[in-house]
Amino acid sequence: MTRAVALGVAVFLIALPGEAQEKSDVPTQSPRSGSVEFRLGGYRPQLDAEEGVEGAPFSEVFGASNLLLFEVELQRFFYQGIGTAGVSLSLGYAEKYASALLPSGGRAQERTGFHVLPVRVRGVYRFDYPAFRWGIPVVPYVKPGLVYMPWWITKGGEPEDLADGKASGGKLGWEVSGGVSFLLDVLEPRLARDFDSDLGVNHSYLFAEYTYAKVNNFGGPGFNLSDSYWMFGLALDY
Amino acid sequence: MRTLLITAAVLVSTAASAQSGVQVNLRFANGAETVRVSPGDCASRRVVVTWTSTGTACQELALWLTEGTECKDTADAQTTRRSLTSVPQTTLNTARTGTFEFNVSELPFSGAAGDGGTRSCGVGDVEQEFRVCGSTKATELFSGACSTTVTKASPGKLTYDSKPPAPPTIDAVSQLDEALRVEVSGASDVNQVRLVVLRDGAEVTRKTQGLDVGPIQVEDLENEVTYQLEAYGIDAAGNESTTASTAEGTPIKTLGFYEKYRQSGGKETGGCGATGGGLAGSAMLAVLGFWLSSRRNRS
Repeated sequence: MTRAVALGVAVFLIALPGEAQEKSDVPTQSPRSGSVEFRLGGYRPQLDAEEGVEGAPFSEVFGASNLLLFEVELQRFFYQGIGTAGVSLSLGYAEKYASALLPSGGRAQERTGFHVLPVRVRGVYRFDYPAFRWGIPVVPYVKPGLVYMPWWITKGGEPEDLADGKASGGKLGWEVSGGVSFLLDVLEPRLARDFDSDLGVNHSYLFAEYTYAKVNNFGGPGFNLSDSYWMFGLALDY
Repeated sequence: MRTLLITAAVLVSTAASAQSGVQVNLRFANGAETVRVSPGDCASRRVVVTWTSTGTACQELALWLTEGTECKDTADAQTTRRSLTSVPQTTLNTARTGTFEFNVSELPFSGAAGDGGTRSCGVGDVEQEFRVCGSTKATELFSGACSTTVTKASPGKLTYDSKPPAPPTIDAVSQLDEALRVEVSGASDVNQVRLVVLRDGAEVTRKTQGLDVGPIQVEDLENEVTYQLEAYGIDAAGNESTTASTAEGTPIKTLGFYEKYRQSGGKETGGCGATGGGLAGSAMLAVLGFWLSSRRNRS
């Protein structure tokens, strides 16, 4: 059964290029200078992995589920030849709330929250030459770069500052993301052309990307906001 | 053709006749049709009423206050009334709008002290409707004669309310760290809630807020101490309920994530860090610089 499905997908992908090829050389296509991406995924900082931390305070307070991270990214291309290269700037937000703990154990009626606002500056390389040259609608890409992640913690809606510590800050780190985009133009070539002529959107993609992020001030003390996670989203070239 | 001309003449004259009437509106501040006053207003509050008119009147605009909900044709026709200064005919027809005032203490209560009764402005536990009434007569368009029909103004509605609302109900008290959150619900006539916090019978603090704002949170309390809570209702006229709903609450120590993390040996002390913030800022400026200076490329 699995083989049959795989075979079907392969046949579908092979059949698509011809369709895409026909449309990719449209003479009236507008200039392409960048891309905007919207993505969503589950993020879970490795706060319990910090050296010297006993137990798992993050898991104990917030449980085992991930934070839902939403990000918007703007890319600007500086090379379009054998693939496309550029730089990107992205901004995201994620939060998680849970009941605070009682010193004796158990849950309090008060709520505590953890919030992050990741800012990423990355290089982008997309291997989209086969997509535009031969109409293969799959575009692999890689995005290495820096991430700066402001964070803050609340209790009862207020910052949970202590006498010996501020419940907000920022962490710097590096990361690499790799992913695969599926060029949606091949599904509706005419609609894609209209999208370009009406709104200047050259191509649209659905993508899945995997990020490996080390966000701990390059090994400094304190929070370890590192994680490896998947994100999924929509990209629009303009 | 003749029939057509006659029909047109009739229609034109009908329309003109419809325009010959006079219309007067009496409204309170900000165009409000209603206003509520309380016993506290009796001492010195003056109520301002704005009149507006359209059409042509052939006599002054007579004005009066009356108890109840009905304005009759004249002040004399009302059982309980207090006449106010009229608006002259010329002013009514030229200025088209103006104001007049009266004291809340002038409200004409039936069964007032002067009549051997006990009702008057300032007396408690009363909810009584009053009307600010006015009347005039219109000038007929073609004849120029004064109409025999009285035109009554659209009245202003005033409620004297000294009846305290029922006390609100304390539905829940949440125990927070050095604070209590109190959920209160009340009857429809309760606008605000006053929460009084007591410790061993002595008032510690009080807080007043709108009923529809949400739970009342009282801060800066002591953990592990039981406080008594009294909730009073306040209505739109400012009357406060004479009795209160009561409950008790005890703030308790709670651990948010950060305190739990620090207790577990975590070393994070917050702050952005000059290095991290500087690097991130520089990187972002570099990207933005590239962004602005880069040339558009074709795909």
